Amino acid sequence: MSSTDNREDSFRRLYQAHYRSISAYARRRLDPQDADDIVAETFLVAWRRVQDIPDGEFALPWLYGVARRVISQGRRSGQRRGRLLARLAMVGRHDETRMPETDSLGDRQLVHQALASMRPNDRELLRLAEWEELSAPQLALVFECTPNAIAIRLHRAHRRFRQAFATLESESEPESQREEST
Amino acid sequence: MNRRPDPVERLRKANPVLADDSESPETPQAKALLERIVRTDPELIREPRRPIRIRRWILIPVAILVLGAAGYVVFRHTDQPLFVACYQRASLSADRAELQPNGQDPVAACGVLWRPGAQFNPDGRVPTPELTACVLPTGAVGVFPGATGVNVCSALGLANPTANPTERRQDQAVQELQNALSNHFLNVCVGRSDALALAQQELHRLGLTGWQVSDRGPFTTRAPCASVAFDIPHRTVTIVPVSNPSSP
Repeated sequence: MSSTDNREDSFRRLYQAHYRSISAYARRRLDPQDADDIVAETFLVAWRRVQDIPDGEFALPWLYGVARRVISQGRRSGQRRGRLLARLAMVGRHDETRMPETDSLGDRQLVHQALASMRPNDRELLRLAEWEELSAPQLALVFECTPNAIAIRLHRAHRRFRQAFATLESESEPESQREEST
Repeated sequence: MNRRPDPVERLRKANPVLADDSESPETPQAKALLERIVRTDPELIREPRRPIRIRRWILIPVAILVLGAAGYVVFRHTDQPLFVACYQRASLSADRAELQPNGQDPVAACGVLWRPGAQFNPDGRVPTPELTACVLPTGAVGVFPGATGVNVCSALGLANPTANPTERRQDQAVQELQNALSNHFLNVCVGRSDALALAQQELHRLGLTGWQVSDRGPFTTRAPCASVAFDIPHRTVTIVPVSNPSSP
């Protein structure tokens, strides 16, 4: 078998294994059409660099890192459609039918408002930890730092998120409920 | 009284696309995309640029301890570092990009940035220069362009990388120590005495003789849980009190 065949086989396996996750990653952050662009660009980069992709549990975070840069580059350069920028800014805008597990619409709004109030890196770190369920070593690969550093950053991001959420929640509670809870 | 779930739990539940709802690679669109990609010449694909940035070296709460060891901590052993700093000119003040070599030789990893269309060669007019890896003052690896016949490292007052097998084993053990302790303290609150015992146990397991464990108090109700700092030049693991990672 030639090295070209090996390369293609490796890529096909990678694509089969991780298409779902990359597609979900993009859809969690963008509308479906822009998400499709991000998925395609991410796997194009993976096709070019298939021999550089780490094995096993680190392949997926490597792909997340590429997807993150693809989104970020579109955001920085302004070359992507205006719609993409608008939607990137609106963290909370998701199809509500896809959120069956949260308590209520108000709860979801609080979550997204709290996320939107955070710094972009903290926001992405939280989403990767809680939605993509990456481990500390996997997060470290995405953020290009040590697992120790990422553990500290995640701890702080959790704390900031809880604070932001608590503030928003207390502001949104009716006066009577606030009195009851005190 | 019903206690409301923790905000982080509520964040988790607000996941807008659950794993079961994600798109299968067996859909016609996904299959078509795959076929389009594998028919693309890889060399023609532009990669997203990595932003040039100054990395913040503060890894753990005790900044002063970490700063002394920063290069060592992040760059690991010099022949296969976790990150390398690629410089655009043979100068320590030149623009630089930091990247993960993913097991590649540092020179080969930085060479990618000099390809036509890449960060250091956006218009494709610059031929790929000869690149040299040197040890930066922090202990990290820096890769510089330089003319043939010139010892770039010496010219910059830097050392050449070495790959002493004993040092490499030691570095790997230190790396494993960092990962093991970080994972222990990541999501659970480990108290002072357990943390000290755990650190000693890991040092023993990894054969890191000559290392010591110290603690920086006080552990209080506001900061009852252990985090960890590594002072590698002085071979010291320091247990540091922090707030509870699982409390609001």
